[in-house]
This record gives sequence, C-alpha cells and structure tokens, in this order.
Amino acid sequence: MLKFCGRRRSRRPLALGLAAAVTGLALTVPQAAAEPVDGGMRQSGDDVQHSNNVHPVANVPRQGPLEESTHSDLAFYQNYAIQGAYDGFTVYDISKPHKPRTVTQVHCPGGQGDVSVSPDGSLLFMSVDYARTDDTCQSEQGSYEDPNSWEGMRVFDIRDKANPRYLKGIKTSCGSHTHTMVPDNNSEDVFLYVSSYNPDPAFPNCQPPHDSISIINVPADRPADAKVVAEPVLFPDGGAAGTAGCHDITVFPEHDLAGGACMGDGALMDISDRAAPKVITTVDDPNFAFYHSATFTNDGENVLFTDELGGGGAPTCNEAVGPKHGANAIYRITGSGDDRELEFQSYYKIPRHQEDTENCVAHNGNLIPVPGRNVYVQSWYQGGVSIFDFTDTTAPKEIGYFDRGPVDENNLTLGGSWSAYYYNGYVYSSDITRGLDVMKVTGPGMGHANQVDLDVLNPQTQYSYPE
Amino acid sequence: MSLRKLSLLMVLVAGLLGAGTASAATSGYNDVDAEFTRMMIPHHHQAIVMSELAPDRAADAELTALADRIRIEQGLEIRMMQGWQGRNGLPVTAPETAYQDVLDNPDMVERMGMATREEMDRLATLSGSEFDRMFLDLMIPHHDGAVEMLRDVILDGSDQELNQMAQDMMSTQKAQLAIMRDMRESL
Repeated sequence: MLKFCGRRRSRRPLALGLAAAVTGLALTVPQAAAEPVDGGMRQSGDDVQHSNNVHPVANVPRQGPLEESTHSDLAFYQNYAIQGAYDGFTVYDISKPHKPRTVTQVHCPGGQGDVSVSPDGSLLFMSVDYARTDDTCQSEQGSYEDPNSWEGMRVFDIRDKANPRYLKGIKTSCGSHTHTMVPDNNSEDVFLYVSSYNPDPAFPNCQPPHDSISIINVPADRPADAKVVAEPVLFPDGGAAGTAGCHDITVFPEHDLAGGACMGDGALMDISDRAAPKVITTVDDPNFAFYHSATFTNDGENVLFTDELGGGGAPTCNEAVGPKHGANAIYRITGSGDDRELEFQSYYKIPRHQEDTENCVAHNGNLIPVPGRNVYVQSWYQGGVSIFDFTDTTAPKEIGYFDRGPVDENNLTLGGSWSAYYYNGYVYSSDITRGLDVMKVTGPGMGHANQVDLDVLNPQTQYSYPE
Repeated sequence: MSLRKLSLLMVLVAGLLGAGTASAATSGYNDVDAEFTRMMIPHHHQAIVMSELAPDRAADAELTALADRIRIEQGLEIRMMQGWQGRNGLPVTAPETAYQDVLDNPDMVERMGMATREEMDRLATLSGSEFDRMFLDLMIPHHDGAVEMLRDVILDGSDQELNQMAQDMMSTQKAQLAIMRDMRESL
C-alpha cells in the first residue's frame, strides 16, 4: 500500500503550554460506543436507496447533548472524525469505519459549526455565525442589534481527543459562516480565512460594504495568541452586483491558489502571501444565485463551483427548477499568472428528481483520490450523496449514489446530507438530522483511490494526491 | 415600518391572513417570526406575479433573465416559509388568497413597498421599454420593503433556522436591488 501523507508534516507539535489562557471550560460528555445501524433504516420513512456500488456500513444517530442539534460539517485527523453541529461537536474514533465509536461530545452553542483541525491534530477551529451574548460555551442567543454580541471563531485544544478544552474565541466581522485552515508557507503557523456575509447598517458587528474576509493567524507555539491579522478587501470595486463578503473559500496551498465562493462572484485568488490574498479573476455565472463553495481538480487546472440556490432549505432538484440552477459549474483555468481566467465547461446536478418536501441543492464534497481521473463525492441535502466522474470536464457523469426518503413527508424540512467526504477508503456523510453515515464505495470507477492514505483532512484545504 | 406595527395592523384587519398565536415557550420561534412568514409569503407572491409578466412583455433580455431568477427564487422561498410554518404547527399561508387580502388593504400595501392593484393592472397592459421601466419602478420599492421586513425579523425574531433563511433572503434581495438600480439608471 502506498502510504501518502496528505500534508507537510509538522516537525514539532504545536506546544500549547501553560501560557494558553483558558477562557471557559466546555461541557464535555464522554460517551460509550454508539450502536451502528446498518443501512440507517431504523427511522420510519427512512427508505434508503443506493446504487449497487455504494454500501452503507454504519449510521450513528444524533445523541447526547446534540440530539436535537442540526449537524453540519466534518473534519478528520488520523483515526478520528469530528462532526460539527449548531450546538457543539462530536468526536468519533473511526479506526473501524463500520463501527464508529463516540469519543466525546462538546456542547458549545453557536452555529453553524463549520469545523477544521490543525495539521498536527492539536487544535480544532469552529465557526460561529449566530449572535451570542459572549464568547463562552455558556453564552446565550444574542441580538444582532447589540454591539457587544459575539460571533466569530472558537479555538479548542484537542490534543486529548477525549477531553477537548476551549482555548479562546476570536470575534470576526459579520461572524464566521465558514472558515478555511491555511498552513503558512514558511512557518508552522496556520491562518484561518473566515468567510461571512450579509452586512447591514442595522447590524453594528456587520457594517457595509464588507467586501472582505477576516484572516486569523494562529502562532504555532502560542495558539492562545491567535488573532485577526488582516481584513483584506477582495473586491475593491464592489465585485458583482450585491457581492458583500464570501460564503466559503477552498485553498490549494501547493499551487498558492484559492477558490472563493463569494455571493455573486466565483473568484480565483493568489495566496502566495497568506495574509494578503489577491483576486486574479472572477466569474459570474448567469445561472448561479449564490456561490457556495469551490473545489480544484488534482492538477489545479479546473475549479468546480457550487450554487446553493435558496440557501440550502429549498427543493430545487425537480423539473421546474431544472438542471442548471442549484447545480455545480465546472470551470477550466486558462492563461497564466495574473492573466488567468475561468472558462465554463459544464454543469452537474443529480439526475434523480426529489419530493417537494425534500430540500435539495448542490452542497459540500471533495475529490476521491482516483489517480488519472476527476471523481467527486458530494452532499445534496435530502437529495443524498452523489458520486460522479468529471474527468471529461465537459461531460460529468454520476457513478454512484445514496439517497434517503424525506425526513418529513408533509412539510418541507431542513435535512439530509450536509457534507460528504471521502477519507481513507470510506465516504463519511454528516446528516443534519440522522447523524453520521459511513459508506464504502466500490467498482472500477474508484480506481486505486484506496491506496491514498491521509493523516489529516480538512476538505477545504486541498493537497494533491499522487498520479 | 416595523413588523411590530405591522403585526398590530394585522390584528386590526381581523386576522385576514389566518392569524395564529405562536407559542414561543414550546419552540424556538416567537410572534415576530410567525408574523414575518405570514406577511412575506403574499409579498413574495406579488414579485412572482410581476415576474411572470416579463417574458411576453419585456424589451431587455437582462431584465427577463432577472425576472426569471426572481420567479424561481421567491417561489422556492415561499415553499421554505410554508414548510417552516407547517413544521412549527402554524397555519400554512396560501399565497394567492393572502395576496388578494393584502391588496385590499392599501395601508399594508404601501408599508410593505408593494404595488397596488391598479399598478399591477397597468403593468400588465405595457410592453417593451415602458414595461421595463414600470417593472423596475415597482420591483425596486418592493424589494426595499422586503429588506425592511427581513431586517426586522433578523433583529426581533428568535428562530435560528428562520434567521438563516432571512439572512440569505436579504443577501439575495440586496444583490437584486443593486442589479435593478443599475438597470434603471441605464434605461
């Protein structure tokens, strides 16, 4: 087996030391092993359909202090999967992917709970985009009218996976809808690119024009000193009509590139200077409502943007909305240097129409590391998980899927897969209401993907795999 | 115009839109959230009715494309707000009925930035650049009204899911406002 390290290894661990200020201890709840549910068919109306090459191997329902909480994004470190939620996070031991064991749960409300881990697995970063009364895990819902309300980034010390410790909160302009962990190019520090949007004169912590992101520097030896070091304006001329901030950014450090999904703009950025990203070019797809996320192909030559038409809660996977809205759009990067441009290749949307009670639109995914091919696994909320090949960027084709029935047959309800990522042989899907799904994907379309073994995965921080 | 005032007005017009009192104790929402969905559904409905007029009448292809976007997006948002009402046990607002009820109340129409029945009738008789101009002159204040309502629910509502929906709707409406103001200037 080819052992592949998906990142530059830190030569020394981040020393947290005694200097680390503890601003509040999170409530941690150690858990016994959760009972996996084969096929996830325990709940009524949970009829799972999947292609023959997709094999559901485990489902861990929501539990403990997060039993009622909306589950969101995922990050991975060695044999651990970390699942964010609007009210905290869960750490699973995935040494046996068919039998994930819950290591601990942390109750620390904020939402939406986008998570990432530092390259050495010592720190967990978490986004808070709802106003809180203060930065602690005991905070309550705050008001957007109150300048003292808090929203931003939380930093946890997770060296002991069973006992995460809340290190500090860092307030950021307009909060943190998502963030992206960016390793520095000449030190062991990491940067966090914090994306947030919707400024308004009535929100003191989110004033217009907000054509910017916040950049946090996390010093390797003193993570408790993490702070905002820059708020670069990405769109000095205002960008596309109404662009005000970004929704998410994906970086490809070895190419010094970032793909920004910034409301009305899909942006290609040069991040050679980590604290001063520069927009090289933008695209404004006529069918896109809301640039949601970006992924590069392994060669760094194409970008796949997603359009989250309706913001995630809408049923867009039907004939009325059609295949070009709420879809992925694939763009080829042409030219070089500052003259690079984005050239449209094709759209991809799941081919299965969904019920009117099922929210369904393009959402989070990552590349499956199949040498010589472009293969993607992606969440579509209640449209399930879709695996498609876009080696021919002009003709993407689905090669596998997993799709449950509606959460609620009578009312349109936010549910389904928030994120689906391939990690070391399995696809892990974070289901908003049904917890964690694990599935094995087989068949010729998967090539030699299982020969790639990572020791950390933050899907919005891309590293190339060997081809 | 705040939602609180609107809400009072709603009571005065004798529950035209099927009033139901939200019980904040049993859920994450409050009365402001409930009122918001009840008012925004007919508000959105008017934008859809206006947008449906565009393909046969508009001169500008960009305006037709924008109208198509508004039709799709606001149609989806109505479904999302109805879904929210339904799963919270609130009466689900019927867009057309509620819209007709609002049109019968000129005060409410004005306060929410909506077009009057007469304006809507007139718009339907126009074509070409005349249609484009009036479409924008009606849709811009309409969107401004929506932004006001969204600001109110973000500040005074308590339901997190609805808050996220409102933040996204507000971004979308503001983006469309920017596009429409540019269009209006170049007409």
